[in-house]
Amino acid sequence: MNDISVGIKKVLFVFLLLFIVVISYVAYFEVYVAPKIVNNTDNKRLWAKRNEVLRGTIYDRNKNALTKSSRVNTLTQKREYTGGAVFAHVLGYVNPSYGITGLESKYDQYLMGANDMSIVQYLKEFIANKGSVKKEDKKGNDLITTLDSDVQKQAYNLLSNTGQKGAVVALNPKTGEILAMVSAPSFNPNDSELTAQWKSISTDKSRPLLNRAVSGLYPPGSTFKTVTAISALENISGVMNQTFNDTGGIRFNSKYALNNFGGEVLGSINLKQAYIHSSNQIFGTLGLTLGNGKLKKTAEDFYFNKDIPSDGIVIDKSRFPTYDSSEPGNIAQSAIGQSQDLATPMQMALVASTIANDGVMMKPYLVNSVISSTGNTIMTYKPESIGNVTTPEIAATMKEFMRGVVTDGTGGNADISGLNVCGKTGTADHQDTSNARPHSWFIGFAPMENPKIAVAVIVEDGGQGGIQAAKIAAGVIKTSLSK
Amino acid sequence: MDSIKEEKRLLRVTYLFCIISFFNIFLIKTPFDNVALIIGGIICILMGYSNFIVRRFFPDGDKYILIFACILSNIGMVMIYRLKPSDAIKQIIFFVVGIVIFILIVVILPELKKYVKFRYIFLVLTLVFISMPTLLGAADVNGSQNWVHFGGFSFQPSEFAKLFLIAYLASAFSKYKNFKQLIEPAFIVMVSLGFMVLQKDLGSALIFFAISVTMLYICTGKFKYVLICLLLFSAGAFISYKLFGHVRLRVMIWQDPWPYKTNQSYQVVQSMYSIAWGGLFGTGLGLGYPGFVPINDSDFIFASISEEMGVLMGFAIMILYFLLFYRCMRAALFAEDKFSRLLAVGYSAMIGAQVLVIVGGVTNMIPLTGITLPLVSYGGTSMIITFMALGILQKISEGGR
Amino acid sequence: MKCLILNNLYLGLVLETSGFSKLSLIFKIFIIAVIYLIIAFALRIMYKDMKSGDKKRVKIKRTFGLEVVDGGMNNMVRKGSVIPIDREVTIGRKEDNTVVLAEEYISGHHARIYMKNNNYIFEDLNSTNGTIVNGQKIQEKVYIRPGDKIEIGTIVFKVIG
Repeated sequence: MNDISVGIKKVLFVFLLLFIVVISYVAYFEVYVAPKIVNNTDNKRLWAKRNEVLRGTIYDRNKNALTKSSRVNTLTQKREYTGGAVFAHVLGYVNPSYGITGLESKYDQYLMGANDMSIVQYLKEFIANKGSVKKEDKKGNDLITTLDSDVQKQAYNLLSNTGQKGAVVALNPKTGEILAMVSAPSFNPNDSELTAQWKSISTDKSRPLLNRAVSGLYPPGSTFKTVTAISALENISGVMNQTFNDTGGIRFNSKYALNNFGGEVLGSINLKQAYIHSSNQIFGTLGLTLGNGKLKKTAEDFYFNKDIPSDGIVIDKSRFPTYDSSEPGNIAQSAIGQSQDLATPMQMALVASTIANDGVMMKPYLVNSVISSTGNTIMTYKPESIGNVTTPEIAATMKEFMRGVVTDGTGGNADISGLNVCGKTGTADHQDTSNARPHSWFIGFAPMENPKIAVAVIVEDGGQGGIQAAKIAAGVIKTSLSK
Repeated sequence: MDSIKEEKRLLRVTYLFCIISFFNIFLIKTPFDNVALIIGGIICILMGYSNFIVRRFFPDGDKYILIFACILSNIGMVMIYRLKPSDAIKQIIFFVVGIVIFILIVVILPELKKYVKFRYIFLVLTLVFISMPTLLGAADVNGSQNWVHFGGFSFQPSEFAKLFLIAYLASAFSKYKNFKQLIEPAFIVMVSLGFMVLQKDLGSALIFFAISVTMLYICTGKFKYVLICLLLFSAGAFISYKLFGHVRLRVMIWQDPWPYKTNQSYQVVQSMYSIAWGGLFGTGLGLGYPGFVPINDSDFIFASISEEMGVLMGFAIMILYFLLFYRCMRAALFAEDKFSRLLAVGYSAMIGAQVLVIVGGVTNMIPLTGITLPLVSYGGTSMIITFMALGILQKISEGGR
Repeated sequence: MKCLILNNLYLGLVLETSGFSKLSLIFKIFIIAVIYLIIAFALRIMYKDMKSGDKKRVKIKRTFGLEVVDGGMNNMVRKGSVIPIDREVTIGRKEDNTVVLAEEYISGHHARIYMKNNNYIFEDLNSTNGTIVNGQKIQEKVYIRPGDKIEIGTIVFKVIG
């Protein structure tokens, strides 16, 4: 009898061990394996959960709807981008296969509508309604952006008409509102189109998915002279009254020289004229006089080498290099926006807008307010300063300089009669492709006396800044201000 | 007398569980689902009444077997109702039938030791049931060919075969004196396993094997026999791996389910997502997506429960099964003769092994097999067979002297 | 970039903190607490059970007795006397029985009366001359109730209880 009970106890023990093994495995699974697999793209729950709520609508600043979400069934919804390729980069897209990008991504939580009702209120509704709100009726919050559809469309059309790649950024210098942000080439973010075209656009060498406005890094070329001029005004006393002798270029040694565009000799000129006619020699020399340290500091005041605080977008870091005094050639080049200088169009737009705003840089933001589906305002964005980059006096001086560029200098094509447009052109050499034309840059703002818009335009391989980029800037400014 | 208080308290907490779960389900739908409350009430009454009958008229037996069985069935019915209300009604009916059979067995069956005589009848019945699907040419249901259809009914003969096999083994082993007498049962077991592999019912094969080995050990007390059996089983497994494509398939999707997740390993992968999604506490009844898992109310009910009620509930179910298993094994201690004892061990092992195999399969710890979770899964055959086994166990637990 | 996408997708998960899920949270915790309460109680019962050495608790609600109706040919027992049946008695000629009846028509181990599920069962242990209950020779076992008449050898008992 006894040995049977021993046998039974042993069997019990063995089974206990087996049960413990299985329980431990389930525990291990839940702790280690589960987090890794739960986000697998083929886990339908991720999107089913997401699609429970009808995603909120994104509007432009005048309450025109830029997106439309409609429900297909309890597990899927369809989102339509009314603006199509024009708004593709700034809004982004929401796609089960290709992810979430752009503003859709940054404001995902709001658009999915985490409604914060107090529990008591919820319970009252719940009991009265005999149940919770039907899943089909849940709605996310709507966004009112700072975008101006007309400006955006104009920018997009003008840029696409060049047939070149590039970007346009338009800001309100006083508030930091992003009025337009365009990148070319673009793509159609609507679901069916995106899926049909994905293979080609994701492998296209011209990278249509890249948002060049905030992620494209280019040598800023002569537009950077704006920063150099400010640095000179801040650090070199009496530079305003200084007379320079422009001989067409700087010769460093037998092999290397830094020349003006087209080898132009400008003669005896002051700082303003050097700026207006974009003298590489003068500004290269200024760079050497300032030294890399001081010039870099000014650049960094403008947020080069730093992350620019922003809302609704992600801006790549622009770069200003560090050199020691043994590299005069590079220092000179960096002062004219070449060498290893790299800037995003957004960065340069902020340079222009800072000057327009009397030296104060405003945080660029994309969303004005978040409104719940029932009409309550959940959040309003207040403009914020991110730095007193330079003094109002210097900013005023620069305004004069930049007006001069448009009236007498290289930026003539940006001029609009009846408006005091200010700006700076840039013709940036680059090594992206051998023997390519330089990038065409223009940064500016208008009107001078009370700036309402600051822009930055880059047309890749567009040639002289004063031509393609300036014309686009003019078109954009005109559309914005003629309302 | 103290024990009655304890039992009653346990029962009361069980009612509490039932009511709360169904209340939760009641609240899920808009408007509130009154049927849920009614069903909850019916289940409570059923549990209470059946426990009352057993306590009153058969107080010698083990009280907790029925209580644990009720708790587990309850959890199952909660989940099945949440998944498919119509199936829940059927499940309740199966539950009632099961309880009735349970009580009938306890009442009607006379002293079990009589049945030792029926050894060869059991043998024949085992072989008949186990070979039925192969000989009658059954259709493929969810990858296993062990279903048989009669008119409108379909059932799994292998489940009945399990009962008879255990009875046969118990009677064969009870006469054990030396090694020679093991040859006949060994042969029968091997034949049965062979049929099961042919029918692609690998889960049942594993369970049969576990039961046989356990009974062998209890009978002989010699560990070396167990070892020999394990070796033979490994050899058999290896051979069937080489011979049969479906075995290879199962092993392949077990080792690395991810590459095939849209195709062959779809079930296991969805099951894993389901369990992963719930986390420790689950998503809450009605808030998860158990619908993405196929056969979510029978084979994969463990995954659905883990998704909505959490892995903690999964653990709780495992613990409850072990407690049930423990009570069943305990009944073996009271049996007066070898036959009853072996019978008790056999049926306990049947339930215990089944739980281990399906939970292991659903989490991909071992290859997936088409087994149900006894009492919890939706399924008439499973419920009835389990209650039959439990009835016999209850009878044995009443003991003799 | 893939990371960003995945992070955002998972974020969608965390979102549901409002509405029904708050209510559901209460239920979730409650349900799990109750089931573990059940387990705790069950474990306690099992533990107590193990400690008490697997003794079966038998409730003695009914006690039966065998009243002697006919003392038999040897007058082994006096008429009217009652033999109480406390859970189990064995009847036979041999000395190791609970009730020893030395009569030639009674076998060494004639019968056994025991309780099962609050019922008493009379079991004839393959006696030579058998036992007659209520006028019928019983085969092996039979339930006995108060009022039944049992004849062993020439002795007649009546079941009282």
